[in-house]
Parts: sequence; structure tokens; C-alpha cells
Amino acid sequence: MKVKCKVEEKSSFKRSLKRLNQKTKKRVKEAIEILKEKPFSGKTLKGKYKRLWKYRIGRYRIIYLPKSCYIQLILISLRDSVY
Amino acid sequence: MSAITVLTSPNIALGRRIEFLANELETLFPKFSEMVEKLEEVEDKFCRPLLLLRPEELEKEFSKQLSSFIYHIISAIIPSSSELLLNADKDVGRIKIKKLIGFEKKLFEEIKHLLREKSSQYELNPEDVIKAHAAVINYDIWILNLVLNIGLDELIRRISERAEDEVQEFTRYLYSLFYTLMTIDLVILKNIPHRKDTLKLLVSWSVYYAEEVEDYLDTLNLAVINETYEIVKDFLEKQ
Repeated sequence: MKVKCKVEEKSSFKRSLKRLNQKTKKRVKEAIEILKEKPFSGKTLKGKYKRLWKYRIGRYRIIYLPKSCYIQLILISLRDSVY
Repeated sequence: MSAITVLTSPNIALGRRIEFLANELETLFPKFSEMVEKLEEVEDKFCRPLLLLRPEELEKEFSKQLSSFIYHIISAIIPSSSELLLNADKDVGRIKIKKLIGFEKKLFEEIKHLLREKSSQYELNPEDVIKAHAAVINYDIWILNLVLNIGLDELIRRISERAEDEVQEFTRYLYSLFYTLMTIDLVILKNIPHRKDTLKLLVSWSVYYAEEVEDYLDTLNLAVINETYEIVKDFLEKQ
């Protein structure tokens, strides 16, 4: 049986999730399920923000802090991109 | 230091290779032909010589030339780029920036087919070459959207106050990416004589630089947008 980590959704995360359309919300929920099983499957940010991780979903990034089997979801950030 | 990052990339000049985009570039940048001339000088002086080096000689030469390359590339881009970005607070400037964002997206759609076809001819992984070019276009789109939304001076202020160290590290990766791509494109788009193994090494470096550029863009993006910056700052302070 796969171990699923505990997830805490910060209020800032909930606020940014609310702004997304249904299709993107569904993709975010799917990504959270992946993160529950593999919390370190994203990439770290840089410099003084390097404790935080990002998980990319198209134009969006889930910004989160993974600990040993406990994840804090902080926000969803948007950056336009062509690829 | 941060101000030199707030410039468009030399990648825009690739548009001259696609007829219907070339005309658009002339309208967007009145000094476009001057920029192209200077970029070609940079290609001859800094990029061409790398292609005939042995792979084991490449790293030393690349590092040796990078600072001069940065100086020359900024000199080539500044006249056109600054005219555009400094007018972002005027209606005419805003229209041009919006057009340039649209241009960049069209450029990527067009250039990716060309890159896919040509890179296969040189036994390169087309997705690597496309991904590296995409990072430069993503950078341009990011800068242009921010200048449009918060203005040039405000963007420079926020970068300086909130991510000065990060932007300095980012700048080196960004210009290394420009350097590798301009060199690779000489082969892919102009069929310039080269060593196969050196070309492959340059492509692998460009993929690495592109990934770093994308990671830094995500970091800087959080720092320059007030809402995300406050959330992240508050969160980190409580940890």
C-alpha cells in the first residue's frame, strides 16, 4: 500500500485555488494527489526562497513546503509560457 | 545589476528568418537593422570560434569570453529594447509591447517547426533545442508583461529590493543561455562549419541553462508580484 502524506492547505492556497477555472482546479487536485505520494517531485525555488518547492501545472505553479511526509500548500502562482 | 536583466533577448532577431514576421519586427523596432548588424558581429566574434574547438577546450573558452559577450550583446540590444521599454507608460509604447508579446508567441510557433526539422538533420534532440529556445521566449514574455503591468522603474525597484542576489545569479544563466543558443543557431540555421561533438555539448549546456532560467523566473515571479511576495515572505518568517 502506498503511503500518502498529510497535506495542509494554507488560506492563501485556498484563495488562489478559488480563482482558477474548473479544469485547472481538477489538474491541481490531481497534482496534490501526486505530491501526497511523492512530496519531493517538484523542484526547489532559488536563493533565499530555496526552502520552498514548486510543482508545475502548465502556466501555474503550486508553491509548497515539503517536510517528512507533511506538506504545506502555500499558494498557486501564474506565469505565462510558450512551452 | 538588475537593470541589465530588464531587456528583451537577442532571440527576437530570429524573426527575421520568417518572412511575415520580419516585416513586423521592422515596425516594432525602428533600429532593428542596426541591432541585427551588431548581433551578427557578436556571432562572428564570440560564437563562430567556439564551434571549431574540441569539447575539452570549450568550457575554458566559454568562461573566458562570457563577460565580453554579455557587454557586446547588451550594447546590441539596448538601443531597440530600451526605446520600447522606456515608453511603456505611454499609449503608443503599451500598444507596441502588447504587439511584441503576440509576436513572441507567433515566433515560437513558427520557429519550433524550423528548429525541429533542422536539429534532426544535425542529429540533435529536437525537443532539447526547442525547450532551450522556449526558455528565452518565456523570459521575454515575462519581462514584457511585467513592464506592461507595473512599469519599468517599479519592476527594477522590486527586483532590487526583493531579489537582488537571485537576479544576479539569474543574469549569468540567462546570458550563458543566450551565448549557447546564438552559437547553436549558427549551425542549425546558417550551416556554419562546426565539430559535431562540440555542438552536442553546447546543446546539453543550453538545456541546463534553460532549466535554471525557468527556475529563476518562477522564483523572481513570486518576488515581484506584491500579493505572492507578501504571502511567501510572511510564510517564511513564521517558519
